[in-house]
Amino acid sequence: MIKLAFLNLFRRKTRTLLCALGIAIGVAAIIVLVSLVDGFTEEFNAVVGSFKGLSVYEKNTQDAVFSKIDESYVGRIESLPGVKAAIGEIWYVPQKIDTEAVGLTAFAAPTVYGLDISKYYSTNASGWVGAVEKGSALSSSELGQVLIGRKIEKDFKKFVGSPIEIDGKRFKVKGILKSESDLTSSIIVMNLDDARDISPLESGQISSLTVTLNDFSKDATVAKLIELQFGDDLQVFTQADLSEQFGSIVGNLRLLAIAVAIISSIVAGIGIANTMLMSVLERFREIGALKAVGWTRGNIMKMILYESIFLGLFGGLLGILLGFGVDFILLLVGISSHISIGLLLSSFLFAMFLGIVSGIYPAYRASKLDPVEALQG
Amino acid sequence: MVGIVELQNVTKRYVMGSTAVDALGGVSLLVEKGDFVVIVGPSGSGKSTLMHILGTLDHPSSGNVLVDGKNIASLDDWDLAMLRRKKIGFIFQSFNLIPTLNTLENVMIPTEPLAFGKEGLEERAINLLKKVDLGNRLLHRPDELSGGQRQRVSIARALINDPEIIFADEPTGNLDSVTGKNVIELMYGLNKKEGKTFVIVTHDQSLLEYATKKVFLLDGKITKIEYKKAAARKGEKK
Repeated sequence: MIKLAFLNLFRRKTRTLLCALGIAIGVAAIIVLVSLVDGFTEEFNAVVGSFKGLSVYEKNTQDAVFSKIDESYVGRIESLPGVKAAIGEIWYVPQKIDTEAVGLTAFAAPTVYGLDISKYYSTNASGWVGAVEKGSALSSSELGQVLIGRKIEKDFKKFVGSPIEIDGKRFKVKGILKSESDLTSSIIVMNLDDARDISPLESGQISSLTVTLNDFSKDATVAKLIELQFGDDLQVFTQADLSEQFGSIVGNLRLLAIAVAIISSIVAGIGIANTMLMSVLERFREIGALKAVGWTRGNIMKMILYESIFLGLFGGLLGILLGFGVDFILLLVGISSHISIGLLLSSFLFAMFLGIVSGIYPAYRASKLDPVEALQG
Repeated sequence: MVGIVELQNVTKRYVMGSTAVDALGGVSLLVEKGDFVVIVGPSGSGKSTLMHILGTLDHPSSGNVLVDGKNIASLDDWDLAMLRRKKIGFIFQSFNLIPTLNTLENVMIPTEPLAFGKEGLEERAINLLKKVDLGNRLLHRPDELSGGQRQRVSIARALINDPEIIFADEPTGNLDSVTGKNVIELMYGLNKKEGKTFVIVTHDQSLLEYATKKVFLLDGKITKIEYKKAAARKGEKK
């Protein structure tokens, strides 16, 4: 009976293929969305999760790029108990690299990250700035030199020793950052004073602070202390705050993925039900004959359900291939994703479940066909 | 003697909107083991309805249908399917073979739902196909066979469960006269040599010469039943 159901599916190849494609698109959409969210989460954990300290921004800003604070806070925060060091930072999205216009319009726009290099090395706040794949790390004495992420290296065809012009100012590439994360591949690292030269910040101003602590486990206490003292101007994010913020973004993406899953499953389910119903009605005489020769209603239902499960599985397989394809294309343009075994397995089960549920009604209709009607005409 | 199938004053009324059509108006008929019943009548005489009721595919509006002496009115769909699976074979005018399956698989299709007891079935199917002269067409699909060959496949299919009775609805209706004659001779041979019981519904009067029981149907009523001893039939010495 399984063989018969399988063969029946290929009697109308085009129709089967079109219906399977409908399922495939739904399954692929789910795979792509979930794998993107998973990939994003992985990267976040790799970069932010390893960061041991506090981030200090201007009050009421969500992103360091839009934050502006007075440099005097470096000393004022360092004088607080529990603080090891406060590292001044400038975040800046340039308008032009060499002769090419860049900016916030592009996905993962090139971003300048200027920081107090000497203090960074003395406290070793976060790993990725120091890890260089080619060339060598920055030193605080050498102005006019930068480290670039892999995407900048690729997009602008740079190598160690290349000149690079950022918003009209010439720099030299000293090294390529090792980190493979999307979050750091578009970053240009330079000394704080160089960054201030090209950014609209005035002297004595910085974007944000990274605060390192004597005892990282006391981060919430120190964060409270900073807000108590300077809460009128500053806001403080602990690692937990950042994770929570990120979690809520990811949560929204997950909701979106679930919505897409629900919509696509309804569409695909209707597709299967319609295809199976048509196929049942076309074969009413054949099904009537089966009943006449001693097939029970249960036997007929089983055959049609097998067909519809096969259809679901076929669509699911196609969808997995499609999902891999789309993720691969995204990878080529620099967006990484993560397809887990669990995701593949659940997409496959989902497609099978879809086959069963949407096959129930056509199978019921087939089982109810009157053999007499089926044999007339 | 208890008949394999017996109809007692069976009626069948179809209601369509406000009009009622009496397809059968009080039919009584006994089919006994070894019979070769040919039911003839013009179209609209109710012969298809009669065959569907004899074959347990349809229920009468009134009257009794007895199979092996047992009234089938109390049986549900499942019981009836089991009854057909064990005791009844069908041959249809338009063959109703499954186009995706080959000859051998088509013959075995009635046994497909069986969970066990399938041993030896394939051998049995092959033997049946040899008997209907299709031993060299086992792996052909229906669209690779002629009309006469397809009808012989369906005869083999009707025999796979070793039924007590075989119903044929216009078995020669889609065939030319020579092929049709071959098909009916085949059924006749099975009746004569193996004692298989056949009930054939047709408008083709020429099939009457093979019958042990000739049933004439008109306007839902049996107008005449003629009995002929097996020995008096065509090709047999008196």
